[in-house]
Amino acid sequence: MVSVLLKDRIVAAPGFNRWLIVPAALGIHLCIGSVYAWSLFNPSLVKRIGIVTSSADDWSLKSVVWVFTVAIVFLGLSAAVAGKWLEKVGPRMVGVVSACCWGGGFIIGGFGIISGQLWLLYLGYGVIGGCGLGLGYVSPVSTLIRWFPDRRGMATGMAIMGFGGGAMIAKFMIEPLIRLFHVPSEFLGPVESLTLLTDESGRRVVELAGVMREVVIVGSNDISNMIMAGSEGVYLVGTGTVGVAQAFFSLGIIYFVIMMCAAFAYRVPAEGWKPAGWEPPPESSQQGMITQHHVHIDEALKTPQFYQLWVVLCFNVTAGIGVLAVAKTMMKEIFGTTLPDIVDFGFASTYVLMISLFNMLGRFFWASASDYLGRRNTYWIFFTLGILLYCSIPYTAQQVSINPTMVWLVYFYAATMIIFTMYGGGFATIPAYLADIFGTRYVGGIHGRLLTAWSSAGVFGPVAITSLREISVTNAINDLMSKIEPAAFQAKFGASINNAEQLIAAKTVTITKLMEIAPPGTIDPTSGLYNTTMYLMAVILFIALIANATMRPVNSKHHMKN
Amino acid sequence: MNLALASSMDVFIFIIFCSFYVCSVLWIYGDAATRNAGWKGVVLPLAFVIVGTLALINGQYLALLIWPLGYAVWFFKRPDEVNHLES
Repeated sequence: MVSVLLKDRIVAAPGFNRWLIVPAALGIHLCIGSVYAWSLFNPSLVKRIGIVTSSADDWSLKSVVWVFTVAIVFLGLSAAVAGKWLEKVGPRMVGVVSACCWGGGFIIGGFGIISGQLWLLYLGYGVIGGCGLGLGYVSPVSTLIRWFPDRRGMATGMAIMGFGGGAMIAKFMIEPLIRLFHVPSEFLGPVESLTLLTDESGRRVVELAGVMREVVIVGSNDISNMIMAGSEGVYLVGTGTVGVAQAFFSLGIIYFVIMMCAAFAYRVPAEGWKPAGWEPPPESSQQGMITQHHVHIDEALKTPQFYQLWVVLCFNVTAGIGVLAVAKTMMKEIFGTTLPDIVDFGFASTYVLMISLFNMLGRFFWASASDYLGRRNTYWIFFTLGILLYCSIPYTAQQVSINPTMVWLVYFYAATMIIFTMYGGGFATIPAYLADIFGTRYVGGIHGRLLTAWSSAGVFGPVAITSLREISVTNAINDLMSKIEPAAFQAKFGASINNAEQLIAAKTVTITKLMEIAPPGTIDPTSGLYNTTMYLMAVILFIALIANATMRPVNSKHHMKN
Repeated sequence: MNLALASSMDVFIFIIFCSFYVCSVLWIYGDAATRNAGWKGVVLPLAFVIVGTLALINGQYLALLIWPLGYAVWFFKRPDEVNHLES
């Protein structure tokens, strides 16, 4: 039974149309690419108990963002291990195992959400799902490189384009599914109609039938963040259903079915096959940067070129992935407060959609362009342009605080979209770069090991974003509180300003709520929360630029002799 | 993780340090594979990863000590002969 999955059973017959591999590769990558839509789950996951807004016991944004990170880490680890295994068993077997892991990961993660066990969400979506990502990712990439030796960049671009577009497709499933299963919590009435108290832990409570019950308050600024439209006022914690677990179950089943169908459509070319009329280019072309030799998968780890490419991929991805992990939140925090009439829930969702679209288009465009520009020149463009764009975003954020006009929103939108095309392009061009430098024989396995750079970036990006954001938020809240009258604070939060630390920890005091009682003329600090992050990313891109600029062909002592 | 990342410089050092660390482990893994190091080739890089990760969880500066120590152990224990990999 298992033998039908092995490589020797899926060798294509003579005359097989190689373009038929493309839809199968796209199918797998579109499913696993939905990992980029993780930020669409965040607003629901942080309201698992509060439902309409976050309650004190809800998971924090920081803790759920790490689920995405764990998935990316396991993507790289499993891809590194599966590289050699893929060479042995072939892409169909790897595709089937990937389908089981990715679909099963969603199901296990759903149980974690229902039971309130965050570790189960990490295990299901992060670890098992992450392995599904890695296995699914490497299977079509190496297969397509073998089917398209004449257009390596375009071939990898086509497959990896699917990964970039996965979030775009997922958006049309995730949000409708969450809304379908969402049941709002019980509305108790406007704030004025109830006697609200603050308990010793900083939670807001009301007395109902002689029992103190925790409540959450939806203010005017929270309305746009609600999953389904509701009224301002007080809602009872512990009632309603956020709907995200049920969405997990549905998605798990859908992805499993599609990926199984795609895996069974895989074929590999016969040994020695090449496109009709095509001959490999001479090694002297492209300044010797396209080799006709092969470097063994283990020997590749002992060449400086592997580590230069590791840095190139890792730092390019770090810069992009950190922003992707909180993309929707970033757009809402920077522009949602200064241009609230334009940047609402729908706008932010569309922003995620556009990130996915440009990420996807960038993969195909830049990878195909690299066939003509050369790989090294393509990365030159990524890093020089990327540094300029990252450095310009803090200026945009500052300007929108002073003068909230559309022009800054348009610039920010355009700059981030260009960044995401280059982020996707970096992924899609790297397998062809590897094939140029190390030869095609072990490119699948070497690519798998290079994806540890992606895993590492999956840690660096969110660490940078969340750490620097936390520092910025704390500084901003302290700065705002120094400007607010203690009496106004007491009236707003029902507690003394001396208890601010507890109130911040319980999420009762936020920048948004402090701005409601800040003196007129106070500049909202939200737009500057990511400035330091952007400058740091520019520095990281500069290091990647140096690594790429010093790339040279592999020393002949590393070449395989036969 | 108990990482005291209090400034952008801390985050930068964290990224550079971890990159060195991961690349070091990969290099040792490749070196072990090309020297037919047997169980040492599997166990030592794995131990390097586990010890380094634990050190990182308990404070990244401790990991700075583990890194050269792991390297020294590897260079002392690795087989001398290099295996020439053929197709």
